[in-house]
Amino acid sequence: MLEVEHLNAGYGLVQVLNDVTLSVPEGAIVTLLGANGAGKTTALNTIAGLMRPWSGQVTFRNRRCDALPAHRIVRQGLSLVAEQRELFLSMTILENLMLGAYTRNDQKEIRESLELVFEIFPRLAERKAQVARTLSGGEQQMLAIGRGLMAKPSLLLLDEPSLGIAPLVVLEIFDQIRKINRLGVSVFVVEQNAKIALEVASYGYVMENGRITVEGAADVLRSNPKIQEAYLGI
Amino acid sequence: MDILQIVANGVPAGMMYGLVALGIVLIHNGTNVVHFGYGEQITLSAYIVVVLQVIFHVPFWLACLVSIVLSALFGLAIYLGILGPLRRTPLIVQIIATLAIGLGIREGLRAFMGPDPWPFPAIVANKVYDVHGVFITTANIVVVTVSIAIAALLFLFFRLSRYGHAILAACESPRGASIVGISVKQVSAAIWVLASVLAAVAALLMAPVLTLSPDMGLIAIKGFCAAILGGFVSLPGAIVGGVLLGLIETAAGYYISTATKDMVAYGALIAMVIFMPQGLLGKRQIKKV
Ligand SMILES: Nc1ncnc2c1ncn2[C@@H]1O[C@H](COP(=O)(O)OP(=O)(O)OP(=O)(O)O)[C@@H](O)[C@H]1O
Ligand SMILES: [Mg+2]
Repeated sequence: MLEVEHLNAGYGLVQVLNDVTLSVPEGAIVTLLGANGAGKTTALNTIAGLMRPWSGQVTFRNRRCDALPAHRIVRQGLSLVAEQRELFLSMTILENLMLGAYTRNDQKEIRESLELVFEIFPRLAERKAQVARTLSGGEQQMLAIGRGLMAKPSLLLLDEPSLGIAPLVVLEIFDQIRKINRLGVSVFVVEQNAKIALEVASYGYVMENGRITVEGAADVLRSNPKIQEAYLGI
Repeated sequence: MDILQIVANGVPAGMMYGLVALGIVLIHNGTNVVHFGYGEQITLSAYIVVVLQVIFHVPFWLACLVSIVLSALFGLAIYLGILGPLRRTPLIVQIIATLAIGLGIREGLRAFMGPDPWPFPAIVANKVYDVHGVFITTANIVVVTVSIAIAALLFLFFRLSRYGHAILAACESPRGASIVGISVKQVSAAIWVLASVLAAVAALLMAPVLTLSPDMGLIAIKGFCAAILGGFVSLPGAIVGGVLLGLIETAAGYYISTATKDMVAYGALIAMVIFMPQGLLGKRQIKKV
């Protein structure tokens, strides 16, 4: 469903991504692991169109999308939940979610998506008139994911959903990511928390200094001694 | 009685400042740029009406309409031709660009239309009503009515319409807006067009009251004051700040002397910046409407 081939990208003159090739099959949960500064966010932002790649190609549902800006890529069915969440902090939960459906027109279907999001994250339903700025970190992450779902994506890109969130809430969020996947949304999730990421994903990539150095099925990665040492703290 | 007369004169003057402030705040919220050429955009729109009417004998209402449309296109051209391409440059470069646009318009008008004032027709025949000893002019009634109507329309647009929400979203988080499918460039262009339409409407209200010369745009300084009094981020704040400024000025003109009214107004502004830097509606405002 998503194919990234020989992607190079960076900031100014500094190259960050180096010949990155990866793919996400339809219906799967795939994870991208890596230490701080490895280039995971850069990869995700480039795929989502927030940055232009220097070279290489990104194909989504058999269509090239590496030349498209972010607001066009959403319309193809690819939704990014950014690391910084990028919520509209002065607006309410409901307003944030409705803006998530900005690309859609069918009011009935939007209502259905809204109900689905509220079912997945009941806490958002309880607080729908609350201003996003006053939400806890975990709730903001739920809102960011919920807003991403409101675009009715076929692929959801998640950038470190566990960032700055209490362990218990992380478990809850990953449970919901599984559930979202079962509803037919493919997921590509960037994580530093390799343990939980390899539990929910079926396939994983490891990025070091902007390159993919290891890849494989999740259980193979889990038993790889190098990964156990570097990312699982075993 | 004095107080009522001050209100009757101060509120319309303040509404005009508020209208100017609205455009300035809109552009600032949407693009972070403080537009120092906004006053000159207003002047230009007024001259367009005069040129169309006096030189080409176009009916007044049509001249007004054409002026509004041309102003919108001019705003779009400023964005597409100058501030859009400068988007990634340091803010100070963009601000100086707006200053240059303003100077270009002002000196261009001086070169082609001469330094002397032009008469500008009133939108409605000017009459003075005596309401229990308080004098109210039709020009002032028009100013207040139109300003309130515009403020209400903007409020409804930003609160209720999908596109208004999208603009607010893009102002608050451009990246967040992009990833939900909003074109931030389109929003910037829309803001320039909207602010330029406001400039043309302000021109129609002001030119009959002020003196239409190339320097009329200096009125924008009062617009900046109004914007700052209102907190610089909120649209209702811009109007409230404008009205407050108009009242202070008129009161100073009445109780002290007309010559001191600007001094008192700027004094109030400085006091505001020192003692309430967030402005009247700056911080408490939850929404950047
Ligand atoms: N806007 C930017 N301008 C310049 N360099 C940047 C920018 N953003 C990131 N970088 C650099 O690019 C490299 C990769 O950063 P990136 O954010 O992609 O890493 P990451 O793997 O997501 O790290 P983390 O796990 O900490 O989020 C880092 O060396 C970082 O300093
Ligand atoms: Mg990151």
